[in-house]
Amino acid sequence: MDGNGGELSSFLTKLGEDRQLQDAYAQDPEGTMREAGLSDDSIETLLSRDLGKIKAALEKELPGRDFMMFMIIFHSET
Amino acid sequence: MREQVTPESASAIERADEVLYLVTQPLTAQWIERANPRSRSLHGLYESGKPRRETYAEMVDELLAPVRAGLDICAAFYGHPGVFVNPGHEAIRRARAEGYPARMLPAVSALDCLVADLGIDPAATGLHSYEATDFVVYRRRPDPTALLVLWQIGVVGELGYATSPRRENVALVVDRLLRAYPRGHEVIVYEASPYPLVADPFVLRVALEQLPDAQLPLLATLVVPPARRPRRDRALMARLGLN
Repeated sequence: MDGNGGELSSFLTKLGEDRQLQDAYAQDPEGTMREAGLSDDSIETLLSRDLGKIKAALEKELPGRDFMMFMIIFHSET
Repeated sequence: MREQVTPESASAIERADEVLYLVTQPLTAQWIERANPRSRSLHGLYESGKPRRETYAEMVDELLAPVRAGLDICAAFYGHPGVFVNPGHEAIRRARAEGYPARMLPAVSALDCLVADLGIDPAATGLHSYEATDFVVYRRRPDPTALLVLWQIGVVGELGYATSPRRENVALVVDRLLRAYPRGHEVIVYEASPYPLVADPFVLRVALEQLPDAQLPLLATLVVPPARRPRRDRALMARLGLN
């Protein structure tokens, strides 16, 4: 896979940009991921469709990236 | 990820002389930097203990400096750039006041996602929403006949970074809600998926009184469906010819 980071982030980046890959993934997620060479762990993570698990796996793959949780809290003036 | 970035916004990111961004997901940051190599994050302006208003002011300055230098700038924020993004509005206001053209492009907010994911039509019952800390601090009075959305339920009372929700603060929100809703009223903890092609949104239905003990993602929004139907004003309906 091309792209920076690990196999999961590379796969998701390509998936977001490649309509044919999106169609293939919608038809056969596991087969498409095996074709792309993803590991069993990554395949299991994505097949779960669990947002928490997928976010955690991505954050583990891209530990050096410049991102942090941020919150914009609204403060009224009165 | 670009699935929910409008073509108009994607084009603005790609064509800008410089992109300054603030996002929560590493893959989103990666996509922005790939779309425009002249991109940089604003996250470095956050510091533990720094007053939030100071951070906002610095973000606005950071956005305006290249504008004053004659560059075409695109500021990209997570979600909708005008929803819970103080610097987004302020930067546009200041730019215009200084004579520079500036505009905000609409985008997909958590509210748009929950309407789609939960199958809720705000027109059916009416809709009111508050930031969760605002809701308790200002003693807001919920209308139990209309849909209520409380933003940022995972960070009630937090003025800075948080790593996990403070359940005692969530309990204060529940106390306030219990004045208008029954203890067993079903509420929905919701987090939109930033990766809709592969990940489902987080959706947890729980009784109101159990909310403080429920799984609560930091980015969660609380959805409180109506507890009862509103009463009709039959006299007014007659005047409107709606009988």
